[in-house]
Formats: sequence, structure tokens, C-alpha cells
Amino acid sequence: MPIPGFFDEAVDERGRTREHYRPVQEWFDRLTPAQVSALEEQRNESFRRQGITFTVYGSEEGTERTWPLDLFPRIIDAGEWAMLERGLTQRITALNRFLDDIYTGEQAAVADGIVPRRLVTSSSGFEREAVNVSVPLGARCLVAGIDLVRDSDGAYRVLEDNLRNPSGISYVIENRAAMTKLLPAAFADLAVRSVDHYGRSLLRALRAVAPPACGDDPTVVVLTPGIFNSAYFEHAFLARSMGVELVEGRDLVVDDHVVAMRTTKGLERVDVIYRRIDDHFLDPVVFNPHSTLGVPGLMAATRAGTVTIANSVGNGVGDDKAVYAYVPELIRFYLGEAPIIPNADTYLLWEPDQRAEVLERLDELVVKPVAESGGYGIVIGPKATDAELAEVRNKIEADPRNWIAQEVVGLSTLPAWTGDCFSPRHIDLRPFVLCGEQVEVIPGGLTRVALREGSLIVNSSQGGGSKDTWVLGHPDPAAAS
Amino acid sequence: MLARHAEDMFWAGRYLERAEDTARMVRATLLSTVAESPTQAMRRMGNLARTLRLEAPAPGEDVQTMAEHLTSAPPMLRSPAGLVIDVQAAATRLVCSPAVAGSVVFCIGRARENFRSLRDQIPSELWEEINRFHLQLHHADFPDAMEQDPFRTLDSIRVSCQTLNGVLSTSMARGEAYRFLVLGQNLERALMTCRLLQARYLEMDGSSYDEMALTLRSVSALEAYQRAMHSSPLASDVARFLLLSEAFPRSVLFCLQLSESHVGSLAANGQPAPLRRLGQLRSGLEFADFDEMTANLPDHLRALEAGVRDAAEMVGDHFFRNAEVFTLHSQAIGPGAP
Amino acid sequence: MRLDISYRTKFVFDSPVRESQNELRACPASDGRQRLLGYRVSVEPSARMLSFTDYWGTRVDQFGITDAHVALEVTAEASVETQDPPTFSRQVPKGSLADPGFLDRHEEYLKPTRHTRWDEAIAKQARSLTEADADDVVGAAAHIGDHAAERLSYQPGTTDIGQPITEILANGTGVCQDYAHLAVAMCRSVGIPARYVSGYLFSSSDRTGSIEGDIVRVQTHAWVEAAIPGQGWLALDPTNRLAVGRQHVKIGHGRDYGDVPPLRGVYSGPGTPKLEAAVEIRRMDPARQPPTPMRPSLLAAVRAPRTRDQQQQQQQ
Repeated sequence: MPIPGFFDEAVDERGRTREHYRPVQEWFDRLTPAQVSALEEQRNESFRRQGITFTVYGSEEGTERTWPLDLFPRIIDAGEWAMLERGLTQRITALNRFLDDIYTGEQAAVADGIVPRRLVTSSSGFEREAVNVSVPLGARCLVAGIDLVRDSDGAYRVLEDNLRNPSGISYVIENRAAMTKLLPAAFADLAVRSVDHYGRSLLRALRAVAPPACGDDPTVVVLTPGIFNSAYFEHAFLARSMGVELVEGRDLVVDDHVVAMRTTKGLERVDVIYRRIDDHFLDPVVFNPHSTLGVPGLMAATRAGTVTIANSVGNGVGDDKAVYAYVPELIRFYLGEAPIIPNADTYLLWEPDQRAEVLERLDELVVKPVAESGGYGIVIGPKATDAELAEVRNKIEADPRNWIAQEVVGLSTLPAWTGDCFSPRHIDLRPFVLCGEQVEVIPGGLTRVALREGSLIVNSSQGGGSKDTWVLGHPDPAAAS
Repeated sequence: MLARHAEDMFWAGRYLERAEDTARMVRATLLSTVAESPTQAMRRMGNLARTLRLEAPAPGEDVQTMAEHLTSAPPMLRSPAGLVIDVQAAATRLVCSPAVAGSVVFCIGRARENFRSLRDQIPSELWEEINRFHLQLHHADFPDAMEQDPFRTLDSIRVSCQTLNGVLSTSMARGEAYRFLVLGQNLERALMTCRLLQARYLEMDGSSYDEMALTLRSVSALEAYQRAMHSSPLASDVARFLLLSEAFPRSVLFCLQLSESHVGSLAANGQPAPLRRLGQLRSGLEFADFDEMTANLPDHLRALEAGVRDAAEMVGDHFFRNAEVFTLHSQAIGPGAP
Repeated sequence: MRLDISYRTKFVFDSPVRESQNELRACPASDGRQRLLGYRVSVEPSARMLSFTDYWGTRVDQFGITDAHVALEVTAEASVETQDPPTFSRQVPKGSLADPGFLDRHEEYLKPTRHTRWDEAIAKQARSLTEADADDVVGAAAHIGDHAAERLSYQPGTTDIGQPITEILANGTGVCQDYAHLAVAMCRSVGIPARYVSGYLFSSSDRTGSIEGDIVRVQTHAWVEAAIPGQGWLALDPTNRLAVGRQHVKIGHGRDYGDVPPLRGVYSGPGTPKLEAAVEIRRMDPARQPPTPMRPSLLAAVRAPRTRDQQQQQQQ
């Protein structure tokens, strides 16, 4: 039975399994607990063998864990997905327009008073070094991960945008590969849309943003901080699935404002860099001078237009959580459309009256630092201790620009295996959007699940798990892609 | 291929070879000390430590070289606290101490690190095998086993090395990565044989069969030698065999020929410096007047070793020079700077 | 005043270095007060230049040298025509600093930065200096500049780039950029937006601003600009208590030194550099243009009428 007050994905309010979950539910109903446990064991063994792990920073022991995939899939029917696809495309299009406007345009959104100038200048993600550096096609968010939740009415809302280095796509693909092997029968008769073309799609998008002068066969590389980075597995995965070189900063050199990689046959020109290094480590000349992860002169090469960096430098201003609050307005401003997927209700704490209201209701709201990701620094009012609330109150008062508050969104639930049975657990969804020549939304995305009972924190770094996400094909096969 | 990856493969090859050579030489030396007085045995171990003297380690290493650790006559018989240790303990240290650059444990650890960074490009069987070997060496009982039953332990190391070589040659595509690895192995092997002869030649001169046998056994050449040369061994015959045999895979000539052919395939075009250098060394051996050479063998060996070392550096300069990692410095000049 | 400026920096390394990447910010700005007549950069060993205007409006010349080298010499030559700035009305109530539009435009010049982080003692000092000037933002800024001039004694080589101003205050010595950072921090602490300016000063001494002859050999200089509501940026030179005038040639401005360093970069290699840096400024119209006279205080300097009449009187 669903938990009262929350929307359950699989079961309606009268306890009946929803239509699109029926075949899967029936399939799981036939399994004994012992059979489920055996499947889990098989899954762990397979992930261990392939080294599919993630790293938890800050925890003391065994920081490498195998990837927690829950067996019960999340299913999205074709009509619902079509709406999400439109909404995500709309949002990313507007965010790309905004970023291009800020960095190489006339700052029309500022000039027209849609966003205050200081919203941009005070954002820690606003990179002055990227001003007037143009990006082919204006595709600044080449890969975006948009975190969605469903509120108690079942309505999707955007919780945050990830426009810098969104990670997790490798898990989407590995989850699917594992599920296909573990539960081939559960897929029976369901036209689940495939995700394993991601590498090709990403490569196509990256080649589309190559500098116009570089010819028909641009060289693409993936730039990683190295084997000790928590997402190294994903970096290697992406390089492999695109068939391109995985490089570190020290493999690249800038010569006459052109980037090249050092090979045994000499220097070889590089045209597009899919980087998985934060802005501040990219180039010690203009950013952190002590960074040994980056490439000296890289920003100048980008400015000279001989190389494209994706995602673009400075995207952090677009996923600043205070800017997030303005995204619906930005959609109206740039596209002249009404937003398809609404935001969660958000308060800007640098506005004195909103701040006053939030400080009154601190124990009812969720408070988030504007520039963090991965769930770090979030305080959930209803679950926080008095000491935690006092601490965050002090932090807000000391630096209100650094915080936003949101109404608690009651994340929807879906059954997850809890050791002896399936019970409802809260979930969210991070779909991945690619922008090259056009916008492409990868069907599904990463569904994260809070495995602890009642918990609303889904981040894998904080004890969350994941689920395979099935988008069902269009009822009319001819219309399916 | 990225220069960094090529360099990693080259060094993986050198470390694998070093590990195997160390194991073989320790085994041969221990065997010949069995019936000797402690003093004699210690002298032998000192000699071995000199043979294993390692050249400057890979960039960035700051570990004590084995030479510093163990060479000068009695110190290698001392424990870190300055007490005299026995032959067994000395051998155990040469094999098991992770702090001794050139010990088996050290070399396999380094080889594994090198493989790790290009895990995507090597067969997973190879990765699994080096991992297994690494774990075997890091087992808590391993140093004890080495001390209690050194021959069995050293045999198991040799088998592991051979298994790795087998996996390499049966599962790895003959691409650039493979060639750099084999090149590293062969240059290292040529160096080791040069050093062995330098350390052993005077010992063998006019001496017993046992001394000849120790030299040959150190590079697993005793049987091959006996089949090739039916006479009872003379020191100069042993030297000729280990330098000039065209059939024995650990002779210097054999290693140089193989290295030259790999560098030739790796070079994009022309005759890069390492290729020319290897060619000179190889033809110098092929056309050597051996009688003239034996008149002053130690000098010839020294020159040959220096030449091989030089060729290895040229390989680095030509193929990896670009991947050298330097420190980045920030310059900032302010107003009012004095 | 017509000035020809030659900026030259040379690195000599004790062993070869490679792959150096550098950014030069030495080009005089063109704004209402000064006009750039010519600019040329050269580098030895030669390198291709990428020239662009950065976020702050400063011209940047970027270049890299890939091959091994043991010396690097950068030369920039500029000709510039300067004028005195307009005078500022002193009737500016402090309340106007809180105007939302003004705040929105100057947000980035009001926050502490790496080089301008102030503590409560500095803020308190700034408040006490400016309390009296309720309707005089210009006076408040000038008082802060005077205070910076008094608090530090000019001593090259005693401070490092990046040293916090609290530390510099404790030592009590510094050079122009320390004076500038201190004044910027104090202005910001009382809500006056302020920015750091990098430039050249035509004078025989940074400390006094005095001039002997028509050619001077100096280093680059730094001063301060404070935003005055309704009037623009008021430039003050706390190092020598000069109102910024014809002697001053501005390169650019930013939140602090880090936004307008004259030369920054990296190189690879174990070599350590020996540095020679020099700026030579030549006055091209010596007869017609007397220097700005030194004043007992910045306030007096700002206040002094600098009309053409006055200049002509001084020539007589």
C-alpha cells in the first residue's frame, strides 16, 4: 500500500497497481524472497567483477562501494515521457540561451530586468574568464542532468539543474545492462526504449560543436582528473563507448593557441575536449595556479576558437540555485512559452522579506546552499535538530546570497527490496539531456532511491541506491523512434 | 598512442623483468652458498647486491636504491639496526622488502601501478594476473615463507613471472603498447646480463666449475650453455655465450636484436637516435673480435652497459620526452616590485 | 600630457624551461581621461600573440613559448595622451549608496576579496573616519585614502603579493598595491564601492610623486577608484596622496590585484628565474604641461579647482 500523503508510482490511491506497472508487478509477485536474494547476489558479484563502484568522500572505511541497484524498475509510460521530453528540451534550450546571453550576448535578461545584475555577478559559478568566449551553436550545456521529483499530487517538478559536470549516465547504461542479464523475462512484451546508444549520441554532439575550421573529422578527447577521482570509472566508460582517447591534463599541451596531445608519434591536434574537471582546475594561468590537473593556456586556445571545451566554462551561473528560481521567467523571456515542468516553490534568502518569512518557518522548509551539488549542505527543516537549525540560521544571516529555501516536496515512492520484502521508498529522477545540433533527451535517466525508510535523501554518497528507468515505447510502434 | 601510456608500458616491462631477474639471481646465489662458510656466503651475497645495483630509478622515485641499502661490503649483512644478519635474511630482504628498489615486491608493485593507468588498453586477463601476483606477494605469511623455504618461494615467484609473460604473449595484441613493454623488458634484460658478467667475471677466472655454474644459473643459462658448448667451461666461453649467443634469449646480443626490431617498428619514419644507437651496439657485438675483447673484458662490459643505458634513455627522449611532468610555477609581478 | 611608456620584463632562467604560457596586461586604457595613441608588444623568443579585452575592459596579450628557452623578454611600448579628471561635487549624501540600482550595478565592488579582506578593526576605523561626512561620499573616500597613506610607510620588498591586509597593517609597511588594497577594503567596509587600479605613474618616486627631468625609470603603479553615486569613479592615489591626474596612466581595474596583474603565467621545468623589470616613461611635451602639484591631503587635492585658468596661471 502507498504511504499516505505521497504519490506512489506503481499503485494508485485505492491500492490498485497502475496499468503500466502491471506486467512487472506480476512478474515480481511470482518470485520468492530467496529468489530475489539470489538475484541480488548475482548482481553484486557482476558489479564487483566489472569494478562498477563509486567513492564516498569523507567516510572513513571502505570508501569504494559496489553500485547499489534496486531490482524493481521505475517505469514511465510513453505519454508521460513525451511531456517530460518537451519540458526538459524547453528548459535546457532556455538555459543555453541564458548562458550564451550572459557570456557572449548583450545580457538581455539583465538589461530587461528579468534577472538582477547582481544575481550574475555574485554567483560563484560566474566565470569572468569565460566572458566573450563564444561556443559553437551556443551549446553550452552539452550534457545536462536535470533532477526531477513528483510531488504528492504526482506532478513532476524540477528540483535542480546540473549544468557543469553531471555524472551518473554510466550507471544508467550499466543498470540497464545488468537488468537485461538478471531479469530478461521481466522485459517481456514491454517495448522498453534503449539507452545504450548514449556513447554515439554524445560523440555526435561533441563533434557538432567542434571549431568550424577544424574540418570534417574532429578529434575528441575525454579529459579526466585521473584514476583517483570518484567518477574515473565513468570517464573511462565514456571514452571507451565513444572510442576516443581518455587523457589527463599532462597529456595535453597548448602550442600557438592550439591544443595537442602528446603521443609517441609527436603532437596530435585536439579539437573538442569533453572535460570532467571543474572550471577552476582547467588552466593554471587563469584559474588556480597550483592546479596540476589542467592545461596551461587552455582558456586562451578556447578564446582563439581552435578548440571547444564541453561543458562550457562558467555554466555554474546557470545551475546556481538562486538563478534556478528565475528559470521559469527565463523560459518565458527567451522562448515566449509557459514552462512545461514547474519548479519547486523556492525562496530567495537575499530578499529581506522572503528571508524573514523563511527564518520564521525554518523547521518546515528545506534549506540548500546555492552552489553545492550531491546533496551536500542541505538541511531538511522537519528532520533537523534545534542545533542544526540554529547553525543554518547563522549561516543564512551571515551570507544570505549563498542559500535558498524550498517547500518540502514529498518525493514519490516506489517499491524497493529491503532485505526480506518490497516496501515503498522515496525516489527522484535525473534525466540526461544532450545538446549538439539539436536537443536529445536520453529515455529515462537515473532513478535514485532513498533506501532508508522514510528518508528523502537519494544521493548515492548519502546512502541512496538506484533503479533502472524504463521508458515505454509509443503505443503506436510506427511513431516510436 | 599517448606518450604517457607508452612510458607506463615501457616501465611495466622493465619492472617485470627486474623482478624476475632478482628472483633468479637470488635463487642461484643461495644455492651456491649452501655448502659454504658464513663468511664466504656473505661475500657472495655482497657480490650479488652489487650485480643487482640499480640504475637511477624511474622519474619521481625517491626510494633508496638497493645499492645504497646493501652494497658496500659488510653492510649488506646488517639489519637496519646495524646488527649482522644472515644470508637467509639478506635474501629475504632482496625479495620481500618494499623499501628496497629492485626487490621483487617493489618491482611487481610498480609494474601493477603502471598497468593500472591503462587498464582499459590491456587484456583483463593480464590485469587479473598481475593483481593475483601482487596479492600473493603481499600475503602476511610471505616473508616468513621466504625465510623458511626460500627455494620453493623463489620457484613460485618464477612461475608467476612466467605466467605473466605467458598471458602477455598470448592475449595482448601486437600493437604499440605490446612493443613498448617488450622493449622495456629486453633493454632491462641486456643491462642485467652485462652487470652479471661484470660482477662474476673475475670470480670465474681460473676458478672452479661451481663458479661458472652460478653465473649461468643466475640467468637460467646452464642447460642451454651445456647443450651449445660441449667443452668444460672456461670463463671466456661463458662470457662469449652470454654476450654473443644468437639463440639464447638472455644473451646481450639477442636482447639488442629484439629491441632494435621493436624500435624500428615503433618509429614512424626515419632512423631516430635510439634506433641508430641500438644498431651500433648490436653490430659492435656481431663484428667483435672476441679474443681482443677478452683481453680487456671488464672495460668492454662497462662500455656496453653504458651503451645500453644510453639507448634506453634515447627511447625515453624520443618517444616519451613530451610526457615529462614538471612543476608549474606562477609568475606574478606586482606594481612596486623591488 | 603626452607620455611614451616602455614596459620591459626579462626572465633569465638558470636551466632551460619549456611550455611557458603568459598573459600581459600593460596596455593603457582608453577612457574619458586618457587616449591611447599607439601600442606595440614584442616577445623574445618570438611568439604569436592573442590579444583580447577581458571582462574588466583591460587589453590582454596572451602568448606561449613551447620550445626550451633560458630567457624570456617581454616589451610593451605605448603612447598615451592624458588629461586631468573632472572635478566631483561633494554634495553626495551617503544614503544614495543604498539605492537599489546603484547596489545592483556595483555588487562586485562591495565584497571582500582575497587581497581586500577586512576585519572588524579595519571596518571600525573606516566608520570613525567617515562618520562626520554624512552628506559627503567624496570626502569620506578621500579621508580613507589619507588614512591609508598615514598608516603605512613606503618600503619596497617588505610585503608579498597575496599577503592579507591585516598582516600588512600589523607590519606597517608596504608598497603602492598595499596602500591601494587597504583603501579599497576600507571603502567597501563602509559601503562605498571601490576598485583596484593598475597603471603607470610618471614620477621619479612612487612615494612622493615628484618629477625630475623628462624621463623617469619606475615600476608599475597602483591606486584606487571609488564609485560616487551620480558622478562616476573618483580616482585617488593613497601611496603619495595625489589626486589622480595627468601623471597617471591607467591600464585597467578590477576587484583587486588578482584581476589586473601586469604579467602572469606558468612554465614547465626545474629552472628558477632571475627577474629584471623596468618601466621607462618619457614626457613628450615637457614645456606645456606642468605636473599635478602635491597636496597636503587627498581631500585638498580632490577639491582643488583644476580648470584651464588655473593651469595657465601656474605657467606664468
